[in-house]
Amino acid sequence: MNVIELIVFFAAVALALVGAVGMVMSRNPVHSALFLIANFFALAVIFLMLSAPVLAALQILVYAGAIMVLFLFVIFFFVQPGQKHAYVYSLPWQAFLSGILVIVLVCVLVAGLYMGGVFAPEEHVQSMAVKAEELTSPQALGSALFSRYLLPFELTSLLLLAAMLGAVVLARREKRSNGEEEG
Amino acid sequence: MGVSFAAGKVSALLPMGVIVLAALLLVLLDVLWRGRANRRLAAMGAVAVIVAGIAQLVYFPRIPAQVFSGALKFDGFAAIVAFAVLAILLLTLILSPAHVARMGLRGGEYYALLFLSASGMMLLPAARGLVSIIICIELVSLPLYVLAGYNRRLAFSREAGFKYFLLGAFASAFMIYGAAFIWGTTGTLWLSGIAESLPSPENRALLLLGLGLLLVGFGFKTALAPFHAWVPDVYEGSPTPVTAFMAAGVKLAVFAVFLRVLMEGMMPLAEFWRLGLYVLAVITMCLGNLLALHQMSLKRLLAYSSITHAGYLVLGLVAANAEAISAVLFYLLAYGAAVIGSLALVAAWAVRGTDDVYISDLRGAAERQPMAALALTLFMLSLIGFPITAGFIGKVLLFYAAYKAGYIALLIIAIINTMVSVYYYLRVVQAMYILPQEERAKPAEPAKSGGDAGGALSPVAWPYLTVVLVSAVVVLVLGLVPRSLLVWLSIYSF
Repeated sequence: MNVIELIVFFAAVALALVGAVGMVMSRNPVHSALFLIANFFALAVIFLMLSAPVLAALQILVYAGAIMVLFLFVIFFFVQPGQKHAYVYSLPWQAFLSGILVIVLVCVLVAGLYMGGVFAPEEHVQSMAVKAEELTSPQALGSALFSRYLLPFELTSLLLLAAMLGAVVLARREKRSNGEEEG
Repeated sequence: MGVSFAAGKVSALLPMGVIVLAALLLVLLDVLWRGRANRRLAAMGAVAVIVAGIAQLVYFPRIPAQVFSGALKFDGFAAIVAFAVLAILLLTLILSPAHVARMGLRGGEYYALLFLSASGMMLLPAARGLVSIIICIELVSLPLYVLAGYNRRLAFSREAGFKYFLLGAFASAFMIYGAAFIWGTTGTLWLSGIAESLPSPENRALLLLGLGLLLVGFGFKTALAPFHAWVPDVYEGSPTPVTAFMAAGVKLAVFAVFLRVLMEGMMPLAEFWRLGLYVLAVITMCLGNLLALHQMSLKRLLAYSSITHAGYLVLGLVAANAEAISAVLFYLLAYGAAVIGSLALVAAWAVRGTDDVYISDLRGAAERQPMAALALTLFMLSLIGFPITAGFIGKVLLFYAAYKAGYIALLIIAIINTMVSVYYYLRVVQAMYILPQEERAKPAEPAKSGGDAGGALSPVAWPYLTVVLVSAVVVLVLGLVPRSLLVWLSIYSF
């Protein structure tokens, strides 16, 4: 890893952390969403450094692009202007429990990486490079998506349509019941 | 490698394609007609269903056809289920407009959601991979979560939608985890692949965990006993035509695919899932019956009866032999006809404040509406499994399959449960024929319950009557000439 790479890496990590913390901490939902975009971009940079260009592109196209727009739309639909997060739904012991869950998650990740051989790169580096190439190459992804997984892929679009219709029905309900109370 | 399929194979997808197109068209038409075309939308939908039915007949897959590089295999079994789903959808469409108008539901999304759910049901029995199956089950359930809560005036209905959504999501999580473990141990998610690439018997712990999680997920979706808690509230709260669609359609599609997953993908593990399902069947039958004994609401009674029937159906899954396939399918169709018929009567008699009928409301129904009372009696007898009705033949076939597979103890428990169930089904009949009609005010209702709170039971309007008649004919025909259906079922099992 040369110096420039290190600099880019740490910049990306810093941006990712700032984005993640900012998303959780900010009280305005729109700010949360914008922080999340910053986080997604930083992750895309990290994917790029790991030579996974498809993931990086998807991260930006799908997450930072499509999904964030969806989030913002939903927020604009449902959140009144000036409304802030109210932390009234927190569980008792929430901070404690989430701390434990974080520790468990980190342990699982480290154990998984260890068993996958990431910590002894000289033994596995060849096979892992091949595997990474297989997993992340656009060709492999495309041919899997459009041959073996074409049906689930297409069905998901129907599923999303159903979800969208459902959201429209549920959203309109709120408005109509207000209207009824007025009338 | 390329994606190529000949046009001849795609024709198998045509009926389902018509249904999906109809769903899209209904969304569009709802906008064009500004949400005020309840009846016209239903009529358009009915036409689409009939077109799909004709396509299903014309392109009946006599030879199994594989589509989407093997992700879907359309065979006679899938086609029969798809045909039944179309029939259920048509009956629901006949029921819906009148009920939607009476309950004051608005929005044509209702119909589009019904169609999307039905498209999932038609694909389910043809699906060959666990990913497709899970997505299809989602496609069936997601519109139903919304439909269950569609009657937003009723707190019951809102609760039903929310409860169904939460527990459905929970069940999906179980299924996805199960599939993940199965993928992790066998390296494949195709049903045929799973059976071929099982790990050696001493390395099967994770695979069995996956199988167990999958069973729990299916248990939720098919309302088996420890996972049944959502059923009564959801059945009671949903608009009644939606309840009918759920009870008949979801049960049909999910049981069909459950049978397929077990018999095509998991047969080498039969000793494990047979044991699990055995226990589930016993708990489901006993608990469903016991809880049904004292229900006052007809919809809740039918909900508990649906749990009990799921228990009987598991007998067929446990047996898992050639007889069981046609027996389970026959039973599902017989049950579907009876339950749609009774729910059509519930819908016809329901008052706006509750969208439900109580057994006490039925008093004296035999004098005022003898034909409707007779039909409801017929449906109750079919649900019991009384001779000359479809339910009887279904039970005989199912019990014979279990007997042939050697599950005598299970069979005896099922028969005892059938005897117990006579009590609560006949309570409905007794209320209609024997109990004197009390002259009293309606039970306390919200004041705005509309114009239909007058007499005891409102007369049955023609859409409901049509559905009741069709169901009654199906129940009688399947009961008197079961061979008419059985011939097809035995030719086109898988």
